Amino acid sequence: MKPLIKFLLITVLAYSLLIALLSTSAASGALCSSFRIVSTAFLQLTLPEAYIHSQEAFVQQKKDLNSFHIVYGNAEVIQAEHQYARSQNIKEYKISSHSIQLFFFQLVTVPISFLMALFIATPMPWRKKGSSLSFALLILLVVILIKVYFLILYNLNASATGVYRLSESELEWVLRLISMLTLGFSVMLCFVLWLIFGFRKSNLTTVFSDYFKNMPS
Amino acid sequence: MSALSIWWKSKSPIFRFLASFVALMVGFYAFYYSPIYEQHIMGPLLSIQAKSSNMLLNFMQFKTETIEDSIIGEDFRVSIKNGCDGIEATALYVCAILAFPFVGWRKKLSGLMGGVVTLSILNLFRIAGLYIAGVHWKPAFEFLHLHGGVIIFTLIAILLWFVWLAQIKKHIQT
Repeated sequence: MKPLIKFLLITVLAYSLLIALLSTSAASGALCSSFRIVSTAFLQLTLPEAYIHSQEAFVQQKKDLNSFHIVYGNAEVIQAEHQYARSQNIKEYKISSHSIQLFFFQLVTVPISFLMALFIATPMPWRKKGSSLSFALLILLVVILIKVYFLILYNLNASATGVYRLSESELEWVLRLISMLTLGFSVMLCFVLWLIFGFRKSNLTTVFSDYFKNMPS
Repeated sequence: MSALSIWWKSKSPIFRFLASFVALMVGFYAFYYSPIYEQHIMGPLLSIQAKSSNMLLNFMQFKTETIEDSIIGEDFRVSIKNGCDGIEATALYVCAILAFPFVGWRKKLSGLMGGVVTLSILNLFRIAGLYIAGVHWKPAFEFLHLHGGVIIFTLIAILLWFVWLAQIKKHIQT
């Protein structure tokens, strides 16, 4: 029991420290803009028929370090609008784009901090810890990007952009997936990833082995 | 004995625990986001949580009332939504106990009863606490909702599971 309680206490401490560290403007600004670049590239790659760009978010004319906008639309329509404006020599014009705001702190910082805290607290060699954590972080990042993908896919339909049109039943599935991929789901996923990549390879399993030794088979 | 059963029994207890746990969690999420849960269980469950937390708040002299899944006061309103209801952390606890191999159903059932009741009571305090934070300390509401509501509540579920394991171990040794 003692190693397990020690593990939990270190997890809480590490999580608190990580949240404090990642909430500083330097860290959150750098991480948010990195995630913005990665998610925009991922969306442009996976939704080539859509117009995908990202913009920084502002709160009372001050740059918001914890959120950004994904601007989306129909690439063909927007290209035609650009061409028309160029041919007519129009300098300022509006394109048919829409946008949604993504909140980086809830979407990325909290689950990543929780996953890192679980691994930091796990009694296992640091080298192994590093490689297992990297793999788990990669899977978590892919799941977060998939959530962003479905969010944009749904909004492309809701805004009637005319690209990636889904049937009513498909749209219902996408909406169901979006509602499933909550912060709670991300936290549970972190726990499962830790069980598979951290706990299984850690000294904590010896505590469980003691249990199993005493169990009737 | 089928080939699957032989293969399963040849695996280490840790592997069997992990595989069963992941399978049970997948099953939980399939049910938690199914139309059956959303149409028939979610509404009444959230309403019960709101009513019970409201009773706790009334006991603490807060003048609040409930409408469906919302606790409404003069200055603040808390609405309990799917995903913020503490059910996922409770499911984690339930799945971790059910997946644990070699332990009899009687011990599992007593662990489930004790843990689920404890988590449900703590959840009512969590919801009532969020309302109080919203009334007296608005800037802290989101922080407590996010970290206290999701992360700490999940860690409490893991702690309770560890407590159950300790009880099982003690029982075996005596």
